[in-house]
Amino acid sequence: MAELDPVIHADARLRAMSALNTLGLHESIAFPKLREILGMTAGNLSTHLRKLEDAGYITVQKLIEGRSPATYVGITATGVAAFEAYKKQLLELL
Amino acid sequence: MFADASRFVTRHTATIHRRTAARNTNQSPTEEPALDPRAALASLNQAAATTRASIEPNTAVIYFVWAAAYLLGYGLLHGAAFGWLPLAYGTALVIGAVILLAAITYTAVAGIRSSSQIRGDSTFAGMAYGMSWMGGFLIVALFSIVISRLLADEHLLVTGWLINSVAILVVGIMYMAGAAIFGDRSMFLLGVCFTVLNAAGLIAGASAFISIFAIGGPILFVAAGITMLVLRRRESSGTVK
Repeated sequence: MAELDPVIHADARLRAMSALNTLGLHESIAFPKLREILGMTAGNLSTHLRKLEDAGYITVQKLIEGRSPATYVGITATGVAAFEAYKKQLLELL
Repeated sequence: MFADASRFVTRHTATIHRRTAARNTNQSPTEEPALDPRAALASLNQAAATTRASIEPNTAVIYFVWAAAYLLGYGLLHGAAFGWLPLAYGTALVIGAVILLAAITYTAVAGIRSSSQIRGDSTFAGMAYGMSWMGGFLIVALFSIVISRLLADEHLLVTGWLINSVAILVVGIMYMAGAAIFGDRSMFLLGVCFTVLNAAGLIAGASAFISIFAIGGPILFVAAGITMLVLRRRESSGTVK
């Protein structure tokens, strides 16, 4: 059996992927709201999101909302496929 | 003995410092300990449930609010129409409208609050759905005025019966449309039930429709609320979608 995707198979990134997958494709969430959902520190979440972004699983978009900068995070089609494959493998292991 | 105690304290403090430092730096996510598959699945489900609770309004509470609104609104109308409440029918209508507005406001605020800080297709879908409700009820309000003028000589119950059937027509269709937009089967069932209830109210006639809605409406909403609670609990405790 193939090894579980190491990019996803770490608690913080797994929870981030699960949250973004629940949000759905073509949807994105503000960084503070995602941080609140996951109960992580900003630094910790940023580190893990960078790793997921490098793998092409998520997109991080910086934009201006009103007059303030805002960061929105969303899952990509590659990310959805990787997460589905991960869940399938995980269920096969149990 | 004091030296032993001192060594213990020093060693213990050092351990705490190491643990705290490890927790605070969070520099290398790749160095996290490997997850047990069962723990990974639990973590995944928990994150999905927390996310859902954060980005979706609490539908169960909304349905319970509407159950109370229907019970109070139609209950007041029934009491005024059949004389078991010392209230004029017109006053009951006004109070019913205030209750309706309060329930609409609660629903709108819950929807807006849950969709804040979210961008994407769902934002437009939610906004369009909310506007459709408003458009539908604007027509119901205009229809109410027109039909009240047209049937000025009729008993208030007859006018109310007709206005109610148009209002519930909108409710049934909007729930079914919402089910199609959001892929919510229980919402579709609720729409179907309200359409059936509407048919029953129309067939039953002007003197019986209030009783049907005062009883049937709250029952449907409470059933829908309980269904949502059960579904949410099932999702958070377990099955991967």
